[in-house]
Amino acid sequence: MIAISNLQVSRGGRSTLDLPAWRVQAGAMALVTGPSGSGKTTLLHVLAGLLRPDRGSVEIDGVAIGALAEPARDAFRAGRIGVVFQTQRLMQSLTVTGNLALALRLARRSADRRRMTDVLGRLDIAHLASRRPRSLSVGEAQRAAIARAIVAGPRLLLADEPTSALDDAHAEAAIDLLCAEARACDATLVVASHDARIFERFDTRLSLERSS
Amino acid sequence: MIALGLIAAAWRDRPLTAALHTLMMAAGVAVATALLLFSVQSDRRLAHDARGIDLVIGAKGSPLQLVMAAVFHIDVPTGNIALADAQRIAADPRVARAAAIGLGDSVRGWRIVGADAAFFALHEAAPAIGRLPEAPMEAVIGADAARRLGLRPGDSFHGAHGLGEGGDHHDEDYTVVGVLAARGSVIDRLIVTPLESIWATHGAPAETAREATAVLVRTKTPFAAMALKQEVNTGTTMVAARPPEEAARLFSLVGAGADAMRGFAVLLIGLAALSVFAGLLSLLRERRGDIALLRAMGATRVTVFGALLGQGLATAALGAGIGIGLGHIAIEAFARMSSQARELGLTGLSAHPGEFVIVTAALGAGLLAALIPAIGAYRVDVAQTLSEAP
Repeated sequence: MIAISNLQVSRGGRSTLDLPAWRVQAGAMALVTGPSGSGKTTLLHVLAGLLRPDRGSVEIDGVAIGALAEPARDAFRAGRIGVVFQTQRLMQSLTVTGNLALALRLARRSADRRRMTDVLGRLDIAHLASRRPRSLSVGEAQRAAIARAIVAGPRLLLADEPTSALDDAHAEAAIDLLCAEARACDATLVVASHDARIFERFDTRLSLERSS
Repeated sequence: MIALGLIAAAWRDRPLTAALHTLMMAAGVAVATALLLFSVQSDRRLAHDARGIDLVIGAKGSPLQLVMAAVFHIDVPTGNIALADAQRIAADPRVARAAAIGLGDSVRGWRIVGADAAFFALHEAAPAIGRLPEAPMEAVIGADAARRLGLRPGDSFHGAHGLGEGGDHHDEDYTVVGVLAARGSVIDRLIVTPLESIWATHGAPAETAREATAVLVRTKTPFAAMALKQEVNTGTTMVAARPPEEAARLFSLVGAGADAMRGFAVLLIGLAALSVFAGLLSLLRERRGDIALLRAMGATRVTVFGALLGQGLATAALGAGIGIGLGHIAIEAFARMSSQARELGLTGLSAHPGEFVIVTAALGAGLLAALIPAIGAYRVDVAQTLSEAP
């Protein structure tokens, strides 16, 4: 699913990520750990095609994403990758349903109401469908953000520090949800976190060191 | 398609801001449109009405007032001249055609003009039904006046003293003998009767003391018109004026006001564009995270660029549409409420190609206002922005 070799990324003249090799099997639940500044977020951004590596190759589903031109990377991301951010990012000007419909349209899928209702129902937030993001609680917004990330049926689900703002019970629940949803749409899950509470939930782990 | 959805969402999200920007744009376009319609239509009407009349000769006074009264039938006349003087001018060898006219009476605000057959020849007017008047107290009605007054051949009416509505009524009855074919000029709005009728209703002076209000003259050559004007103005107690010159003078008088209004319209459109610019820029600043999120969801740079540019363009387009409509409504309302506006031939029901220029200018202003914010959206560093707290 993911095959990385000799990856090097630098931002603003500083090397932020140096990863000789990493492989993740399709359908695996992978965890990327490391102190802040070790490049966890950078790795997720590279996997999402938001950052272009300076050196090395990144293949996702056999596609060398680093070699694609930007519009092709945008399209690849829209169709095959879902991203959940540390803070529950949703489009403020759209309702929860509007956010899901936008994700579907960007993935060139029809905004199928039943599919959206299914996803919201599975995440137990069907009653929030027509609410604006700013009127949601942190937990509700997180579920809505997960719904937005998975609604188009991604092959790869990326989550950046999904539990850092949550207490033990909610952190547990959030990881349960991510794993369950990744499994439900047969996606590979990569979570970047320095949260020790969730380590044992993952079978594949990658530990990054702060680069010198 | 995605950009359109985002524009609609942005409007729904901030309806007051969107409405304010749209209304400001609409106000600027409405003022510009009304001004354009007014100047084009009144200009065309004046040029059309004065066609074929090279010179107007009347009593001492303002030449502009003389032309406005005797050619365009808007102002009141300067006074009267002796009929003998009018006949002497008509007999001048440089004159191709001359028509003495008598003004002073009206029917419910529609002017009665005393004139002979030369008047119809000058205006190239002929009856559509009935015939031209031959005897005193017979009248032929212009097409618009006939329709609005509901007069037909065989009807009779009372003239009222004065040119406004509600003057004293004369006792004498006019008889309608014909209705003129529409010419699209001032004669459509006049009621024409022989000069004798005017003299009869105003106390029938002796043959030697008869007067006219003015003489309308078509000369054989343009040079003759200038020479004759010079002679009349220096050698007699009368005033001669050339309609095109006076119309031009009128426009230079109202021109300063029109320039101020035009500046005002440009200012309004500029302010609207500036407010769109400020609105989009603050949107870009506050919603940088949303733009980065859009990109993370797979939107291209071009889509987010288009969404912001489209927002400016859509505001301008909606404002321009509303403004064009408001401008037409304003002119039409003015034409219906004021008889002077009607005399100028104003109507909100016809469009002018110049409106295309106004709409283009408004769209250009909207596009320009949105360009810098849109470029900002295009250049948002997604990875960097997503790493920051929202």
